[in-house]
Amino acid sequence: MSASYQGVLWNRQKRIYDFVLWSFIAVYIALFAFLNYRFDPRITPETLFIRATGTLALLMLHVILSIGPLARIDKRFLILLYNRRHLGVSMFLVAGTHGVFNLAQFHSMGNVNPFVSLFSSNMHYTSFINFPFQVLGFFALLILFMMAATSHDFWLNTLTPRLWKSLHMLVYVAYALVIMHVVLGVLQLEHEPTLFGVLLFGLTWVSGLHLYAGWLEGKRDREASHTEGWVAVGTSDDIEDSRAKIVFVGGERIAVFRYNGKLSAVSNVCKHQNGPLGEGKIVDGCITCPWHGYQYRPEDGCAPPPFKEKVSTFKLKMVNGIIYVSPKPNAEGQFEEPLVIG
Amino acid sequence: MIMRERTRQSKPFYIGWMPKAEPEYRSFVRLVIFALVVVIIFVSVFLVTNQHGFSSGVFERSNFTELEGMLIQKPFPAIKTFYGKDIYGNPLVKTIPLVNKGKFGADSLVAQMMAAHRTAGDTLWVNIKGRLIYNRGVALMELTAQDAAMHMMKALPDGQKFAAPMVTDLGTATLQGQIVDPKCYLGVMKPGEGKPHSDCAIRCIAGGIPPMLRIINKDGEENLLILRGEQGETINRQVLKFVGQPVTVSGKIEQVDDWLVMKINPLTSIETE
Ligand code: FES
Repeated sequence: MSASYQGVLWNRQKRIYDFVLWSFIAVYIALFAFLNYRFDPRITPETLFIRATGTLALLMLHVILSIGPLARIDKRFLILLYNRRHLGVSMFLVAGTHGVFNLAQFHSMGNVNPFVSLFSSNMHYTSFINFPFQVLGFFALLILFMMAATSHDFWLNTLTPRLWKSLHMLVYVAYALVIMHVVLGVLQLEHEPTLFGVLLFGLTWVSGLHLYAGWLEGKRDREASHTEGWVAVGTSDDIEDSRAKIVFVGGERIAVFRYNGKLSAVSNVCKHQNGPLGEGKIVDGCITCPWHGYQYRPEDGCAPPPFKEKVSTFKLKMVNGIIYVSPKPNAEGQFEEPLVIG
Repeated sequence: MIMRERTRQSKPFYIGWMPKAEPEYRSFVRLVIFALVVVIIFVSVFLVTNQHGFSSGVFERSNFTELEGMLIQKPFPAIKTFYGKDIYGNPLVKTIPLVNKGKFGADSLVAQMMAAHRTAGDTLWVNIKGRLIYNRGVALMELTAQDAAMHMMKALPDGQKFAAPMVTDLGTATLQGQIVDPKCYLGVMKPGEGKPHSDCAIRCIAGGIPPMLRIINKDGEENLLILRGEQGETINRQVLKFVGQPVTVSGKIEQVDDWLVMKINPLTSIETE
C-alpha cells in the first residue's frame, strides 16, 4: 500500500506476532537443550546448537509452507498469513545460524578456505548416497537469504510482483533441497526409521495440504457455471453484503462484490502479492485484500490516493434476476458503472 | 469502533493493519498457539529420544596436561611415555599421538622441534604440554601452544634404552570399518564419524592428522589402526575419498609398542561397499 517507502511499520499486531514467534524459538531451543542434557549429557555444545537450530528451521519451514494452503481452506488462518514474512525472515536467521555454525565447526581452521572446503571436501558429486549434502544446505540457505533480503515491499515493487512472486516460489526448491540435505546428511548416521517417518510425515503434510487446497479451489471454479460470452454469476442473494463471489472465467478469477445495493466486478488478483481479492471485504467503501489489506475502489479498481495500484474491472448485467459478467476485462483502473440491484 | 460494528453483522474479517482482531479470531489464534506448543513439545522430545546418543570421548578444552617422555616422529608424531615396568622389567609404554591445533597434524611441528633441539643421534626427551583427547583408554594430545608446547628435559637414564619401538608382525588381514580422523573421533566432535562428519574428517586428514581405521568386532569392542603406506609413508591424500564411509581394507598389521599400524597400498587395498 505504500506510495513511498518506509522502514517496516510496526503495529501492535506485528509486535504481538513477533513476540510470540521469538518466544516459540527460545522455548524450542531451551527445551531441546534441556532434553538433550537429560537424555545424553555427553553431547558437545556445538552439536547441540547445530541440531537445535537445524531441526527448528525445518519445523518453521513446515509451518510457513502450511499457512498458505491452510488459509485457502479455512479463512481464519489468514491472521497468520498477514505476517508470514516475519516468520520467513526469522526462519532464515535460525537456518543461517545453523549454517554458520556448521561452517565454523566442520570447515574452518583447516588447510583451505572454509568455503572451498565446503565444496571440495567431499567430491562424491556423482554418487547419490555419498553426495555432499552440506552443499545442498548451502544452496537452500542461499534461496532463503534472497527471499529474506527481498521481503520488504520495496523489493516487491522494484522487482515487479511477478518476478518477486517467482523468486519467492523458490521456497519450494529450498524445501526440496533441505529434505535431501537431511536425508543424505544426518539421517545417514542416525538412520532410525522413526526419524525417516517423521520427515516423511512432514513432506506428506505439506504436499497434502497444497493438493487439498488446490482441489477445493478447482471445485469452486468448476461450480461457477458459465455460458457463451457472458458468464452467469448467480443471483444477488447469493452474495453477502460487503462480500464477493468468485467466478472462474477463461482461465481467470473474477470477484463480484455486493455493497450498498450495488454490484461491481474486478479481477480477483491483488496487485500486491496476488492475494485473492474476492475473499476480502468492502471496508470503508473499498475492496480490502484479505492478505495484507491493500485497498481498491470497486467501481474503478483503483487504490485510493495516494496509492497507485490498479486492477481491471469487468462489465456486469442482470437478466431475469441472474447476474452475468463479461469475461473480457476492462483496462486496469477503468471506471465501470456499478450494477444497481433492482 | 464503526468497523467493529459493521463487521459483526457477518463472518469476521481480519485486516493486518487493524489494531485489534475480532474476538472469534482471537480465540482461534489461541487455539493455533496451543496446537503449536503441543507440536514443539512433541517434536523436541521425539527428536532427542530418537538420536543414537553420543560417544563418551573427552576433549579437555580448558585443561592443559604436561607429559614427560620421548618425542618420536615415526611411525607417527607422538610422545612415548613410560609408566613403570612389567614383571620382566620391561618398561610399560603408552604412546600418545600428537596433533596440531585446528585441523592439522603435527608432523612438521614435531620435525621442527626435533631439528631445533636434537643433539646428534640422541632421542629427544621432552616435557610437552597440551590438551588431551581420549576415549576408552586411547589418548591423543593437541599441541595447542604449538612451538611453545615443548621443553627439553634430561633423558631418564633407562628411558634411553627403550628408544627403539617394539615391533611385532601380526600378519595380514582384511578388515571392515571406517576411516576416521582420530582427533574428532576420540572426542573433539560428536558425532566424529559417519556422513554428517565426513567433510570435517576429510579436512583433518588433508591437514595431516593420521588417518585411522576404526573397526568394531561382533562384541561391540572397537579398535583403531593407524593407516600407513607399505613403506610406512603417510597416505593421507590417497585415502581422502574413502573417509567416513563403510570400507574394507586389506594390509599388513604391525603392533608398534602399544599401537596397531596397518600398512596398505592405498590404490588397491581399500574397497567401498
Ligand atoms: S496480496 Fe498483499 S494485500 Fe493483497
